[in-house]
Amino acid sequence: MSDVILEARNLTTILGGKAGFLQRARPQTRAVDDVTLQLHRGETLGLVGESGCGKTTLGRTLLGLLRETSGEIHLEGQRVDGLAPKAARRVRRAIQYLHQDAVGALDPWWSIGRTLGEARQLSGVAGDEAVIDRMLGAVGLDLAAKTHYPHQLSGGQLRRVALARIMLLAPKIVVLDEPTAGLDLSIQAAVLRLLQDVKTSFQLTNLFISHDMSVVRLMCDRVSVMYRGRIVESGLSQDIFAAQRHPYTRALVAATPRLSTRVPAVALDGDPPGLGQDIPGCAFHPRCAFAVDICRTQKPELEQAETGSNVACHRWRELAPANDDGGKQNGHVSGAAPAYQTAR
Amino acid sequence: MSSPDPLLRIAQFALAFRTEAGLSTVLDGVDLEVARGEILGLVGESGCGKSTLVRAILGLMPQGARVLGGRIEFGGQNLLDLDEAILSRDIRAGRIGFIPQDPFQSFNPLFRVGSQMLEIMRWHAPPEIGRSRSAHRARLLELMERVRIPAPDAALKRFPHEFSGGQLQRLMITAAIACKPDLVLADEPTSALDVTTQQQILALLEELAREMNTAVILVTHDLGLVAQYCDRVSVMYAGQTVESFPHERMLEGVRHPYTRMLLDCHPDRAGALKGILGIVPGIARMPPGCRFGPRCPALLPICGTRRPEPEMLEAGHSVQCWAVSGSVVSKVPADV
Repeated sequence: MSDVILEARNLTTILGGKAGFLQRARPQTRAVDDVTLQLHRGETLGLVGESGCGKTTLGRTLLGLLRETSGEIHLEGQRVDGLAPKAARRVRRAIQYLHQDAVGALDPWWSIGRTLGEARQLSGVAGDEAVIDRMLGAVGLDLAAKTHYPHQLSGGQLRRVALARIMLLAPKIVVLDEPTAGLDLSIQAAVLRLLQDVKTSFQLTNLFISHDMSVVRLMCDRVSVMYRGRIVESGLSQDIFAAQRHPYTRALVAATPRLSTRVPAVALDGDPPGLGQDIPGCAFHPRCAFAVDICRTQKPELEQAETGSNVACHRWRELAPANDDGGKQNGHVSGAAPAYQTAR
Repeated sequence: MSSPDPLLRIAQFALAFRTEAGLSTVLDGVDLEVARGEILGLVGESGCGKSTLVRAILGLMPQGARVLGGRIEFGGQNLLDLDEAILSRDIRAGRIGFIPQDPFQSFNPLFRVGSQMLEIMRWHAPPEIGRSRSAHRARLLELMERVRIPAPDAALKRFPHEFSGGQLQRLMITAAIACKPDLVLADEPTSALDVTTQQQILALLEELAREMNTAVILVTHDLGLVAQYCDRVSVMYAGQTVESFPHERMLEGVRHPYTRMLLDCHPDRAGALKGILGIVPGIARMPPGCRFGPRCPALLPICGTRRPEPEMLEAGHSVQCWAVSGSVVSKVPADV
């Protein structure tokens, strides 16, 4: 496809392994393990999974804040991998990152005006205060906010400031790391709408990191599901929410609280595995209701299920996809539900 | 609402904090009822007073707080009349269990989880469990088995940092129900956890509560969770309970503009993303009349001057809103 703006090929990031000052070496972890993904111009790609699955590490590796261990990164057709973090950030300026914790990302001693002023200087774009004022308007903040300090603003307003700051750097791609974590539903709705507005008016491409499937369904064109550093399923948002091929995706969708159902979701057993332990075969098999012998020994490869959708599961062909009908109808189509229950 | 003998009945409870601007009413006329074995969802945005109310039920009010009026009746006693000594001996952790928001900060990191839970049981365990340490231990092990802590025996000897967030919250549930309480207060028990873990935790809590006939107040801002787990719902706004209704009315029957707008914020609602304009007022700047007035799309002249009275629409469904109560205005705006 010609309009791929950012592409990762077989990207692997290994964390740990080095001993620091007065610090034992931590065991090495493949936080991002052989990930291949493409970001098309103008789309929002959702990256979902539980905490510790490597979503944030993948985002930070694409940004260049972490150095990849192996693999290739192509930004607008040019190779940008293999650089030390500083050089990598210079080359990858077009990618910016919206922090999960907006409060922590802003300097409590600096007024909002000063924080934004610094961003404007860094951007090197000619312009004056008017640029900042325009940006404040674009994210729906009052100009008076410039004289305020972070503690004087609410969580929703701080996200707006954080967004204004990275937008001053004129990015083409924005990595949104759990942009609504910890917000009330009423504020979340406003922030999500803002993100959509800003995306349209600045023609952005978004990588949307989240564990909340209901938000992802609302915001994303395509979805990639990560488990233990690997992508286990990816495809068009509407396809994935209509029918999940991978048992993990199925569990994630089922675990999302719904307004319309009384039926408690099928809870996925166990916790996400610790990063230290090495799991042979499919990393999901200890929690999977369908695991058979091959799952315990052989790692499944990501294979194409149909155009534009991939799945990494040994048994996806036999397991009919779980239909998700938005909770509006009862029961599952295609007999997937009984199979699930007997397997448990 | 009209059950003859509720386990917990809060009537016109009002609480003020001392601030720089004098006394500010934080909770103002809260009405709430929880029947035995019922799961009640308490919802509202941050800053609506949900956590303050939960702490007030436990008798844990910050310094400078003053009760302005009302009653908190629990099992026939007004908790507000009780001595701190009696509250801490008989009520807290004994008859009312508490599950906090952040499991990481709720266990003492310096002590083994077993010793912390046994300490609670030593002081609060009811006679039918027994007084001996071994009886307490047996009860804990049985519950830990139920909440699926692997190798409970060994787990008792571990420190909080050796557990994951989900496991810690399961231990918190164990501690909260170990003394067979009549009521468990769960203050956003899963907001620090993953969605998958969230469902495990709440499903467990529901299962155990139903089995032991324990009532639960589940504080949350996620209406999806309320829809899944709660029998009844109370909505709070700016220190007041604005609407209470049974679960069946959740999707179609809610009347208060605030409740409707909260529902519309849920990502499941088609074309959501409307949000609610404005923010919850700070405690020192409460608007006169109806506190939701400044953000309300159905505003009437009377809303700015007089506070709406709670009105019973039908059994179990009460609402405080001028636009809804038929006595003042007969027409309800159709598309609020």
